[in-house]
Amino acid sequence: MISHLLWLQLPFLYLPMLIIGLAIYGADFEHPSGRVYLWTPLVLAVLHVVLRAWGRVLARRELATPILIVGAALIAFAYRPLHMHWWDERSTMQALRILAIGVCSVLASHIGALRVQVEGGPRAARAACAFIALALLALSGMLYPLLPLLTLAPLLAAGAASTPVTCDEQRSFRPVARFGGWHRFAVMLVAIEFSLPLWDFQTDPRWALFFGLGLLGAGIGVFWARRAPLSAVALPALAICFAFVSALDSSWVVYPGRAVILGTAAGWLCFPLLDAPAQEGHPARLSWCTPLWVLGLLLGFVLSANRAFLGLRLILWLPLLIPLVALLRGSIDHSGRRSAA
Amino acid sequence: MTRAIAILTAIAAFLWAALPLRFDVRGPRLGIPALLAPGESFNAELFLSHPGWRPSLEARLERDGVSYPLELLDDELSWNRLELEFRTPNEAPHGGYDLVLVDDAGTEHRRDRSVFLSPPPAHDLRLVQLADLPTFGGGGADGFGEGPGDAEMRRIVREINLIRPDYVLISGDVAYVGGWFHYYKLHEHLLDLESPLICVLGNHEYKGLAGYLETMGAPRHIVDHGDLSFFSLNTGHGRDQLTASQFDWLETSLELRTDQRCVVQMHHPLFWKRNVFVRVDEMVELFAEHEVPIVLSGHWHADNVFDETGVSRTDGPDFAGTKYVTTTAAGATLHPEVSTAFESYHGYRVFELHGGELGRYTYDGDADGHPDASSSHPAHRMLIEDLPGGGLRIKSSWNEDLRGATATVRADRELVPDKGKLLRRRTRGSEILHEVLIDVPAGSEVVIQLVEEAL
Repeated sequence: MISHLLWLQLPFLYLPMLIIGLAIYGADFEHPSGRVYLWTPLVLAVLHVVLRAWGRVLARRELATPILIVGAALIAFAYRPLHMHWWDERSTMQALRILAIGVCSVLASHIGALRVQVEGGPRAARAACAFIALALLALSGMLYPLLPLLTLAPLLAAGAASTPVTCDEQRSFRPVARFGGWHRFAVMLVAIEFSLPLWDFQTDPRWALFFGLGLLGAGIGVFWARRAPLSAVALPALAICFAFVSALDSSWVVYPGRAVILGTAAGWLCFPLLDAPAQEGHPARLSWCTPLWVLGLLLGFVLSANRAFLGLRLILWLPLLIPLVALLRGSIDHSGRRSAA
Repeated sequence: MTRAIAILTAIAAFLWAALPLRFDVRGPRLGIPALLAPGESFNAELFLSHPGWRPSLEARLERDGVSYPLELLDDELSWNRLELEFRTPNEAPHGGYDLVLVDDAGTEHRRDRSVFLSPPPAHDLRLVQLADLPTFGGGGADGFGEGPGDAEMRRIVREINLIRPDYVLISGDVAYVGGWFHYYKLHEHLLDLESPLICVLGNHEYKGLAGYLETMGAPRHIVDHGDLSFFSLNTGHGRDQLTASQFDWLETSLELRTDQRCVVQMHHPLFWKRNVFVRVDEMVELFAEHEVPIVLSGHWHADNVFDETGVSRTDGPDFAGTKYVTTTAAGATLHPEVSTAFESYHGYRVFELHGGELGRYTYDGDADGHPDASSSHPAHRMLIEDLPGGGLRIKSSWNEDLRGATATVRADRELVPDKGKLLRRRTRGSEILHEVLIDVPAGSEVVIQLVEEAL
């Protein structure tokens, strides 16, 4: 599970925290701190690409362990001045600290992905447990808004202490839906919905409750998908539900149940990526899921902030396109049966 | 083994990151004060660096160098939040106090002018509202020096002190630059106000929000004082401006205060343009249901008054239902094109409450002897000047009388005013402040001279 945790913390903990901080408090791009925030996604993306191309060497324990230990210490060091403090958009030091934590997060995620591959590929059960653990880490934001960033330190330390489990058994043969373009689009729509309560609560740290509940839902969703994989009926049904709840502008959007439901949908949608056999020479990948998840979170904040404009409110009906296109394309291909033999 | 290392690292990382043990006083604050009568109790909320830690503290109120110890009645620890209930001393005179908490190490944690001791609100009250303040600070290499709007703000504060309202409301856009220096200067200016201050943020505070939160406190809040409740709503974020959770909070809070006189302030107006876009009808219905007499806002840098149907009223200030009032800028650039006032100027709104009914709330800008439909009171037309040897000159260019003004006259010893009624004397440093109750007729010059008391 530790490998899965290391792998998944980047898209589901660090990046949402970065987006939440920037969305609620803003960034002043005329200030050096704003320029650091502008560079942060680019630096992290380039690092990610470099690691994917040349980072296979990090699978070696003698290299990964010190990186994770140094990363854990660096995160604790970077977090210290942020404890109890507001997100200060005009603090260049804070921006650099957030960037440093991001670099550690990307490195840890890459090491985790390599280990997941060594272990035979992502396993649904382990991914589900990882989501539940991430939910607990995210919930710490209720105490101190930036604390989830610090929780990455023990996570990296646990990664340093653990040894990847060698793949010594054959993967069970089970149907795995192919992760197509429309699945990704649906993940993005879930992310849009997911960020609405985060925006709603603003500086009130209760947003962490919804964030945590969403991740808990993701764990449940992955478990659920093992028994009932995504079907041709389920995806359009989900799409219609999202469109409907997006269009509703009432106070029920803040109910915690909704966060769990959305998280469950996210876990369910991502199941094909989280229960896939290892591919020769490739670390576990969330494919386009991560950028679209992040884009969805960002769009959610933009839409929330500008819901007064009718044109933008109409965008929230976009999910209705999914069933339409799915029907036109003759239903979703879910015949991809694969084995890990 | 892995789990043990992870848990140990988590504990070590948390302790290291959160040490040393410290706390932050989240409430009451300068913009969200505790308002109560001497002898009553109030709650202070502490945000702790470590959950479960209960610091031992000594607490006192401080004003003009005089301290009054506070009696701790109760405390309640909830994870990393500690709620302390203090009883105020009966003998403490009315006025604004700093709340001072001293921890074990002897370190003082001070929240300036956060506790206001005053009698329960009277039936007839006078309030002043201002919004869109001048741009102060920004001078010097670090910005903490004198800026272009500092003198302007000082004059406004002095005028408000002369009017001596029961409460001052600031309805957002206190910082156009958003740097820490701006909030530092804001804090400095507002400390000179003699009346309790209730402040809410506007859209400009989202530039450097951390500075606002650190200086003034929570973005939305309710301040209760006796049968009076002030609701301050956060409309500064994005264009939907009143999120679902905030609307729920408003609805529930109003429901809990059905017998209270409620005054609402929010930066964005509810109607017309550049207004609150979402849940407007629900809010209007809610305010009508709870008979809220006035909803105050700024943002337009212009005067305007709307009724519940969203119609801009130019026929007169008296009409049935809640008044939705937009007040001109206190110092920011004016927008006369959206004003319905007789004249556009920097100013503030002086309004009266008689029980739950709104009294006069507009200025007689056209000098016809009747209050205008929407005009607020002009700033900088009440010139106040200290005279050497203990005196004060007030030169009013107002079109209307200012009744019951409180002039503060400084001297180096105890004297008496040659006119008006001496309300009280206070010592501040080496100065003795004489507070004098006096009427300032329209267009008049009033000179108060302090003289030796006749034996």
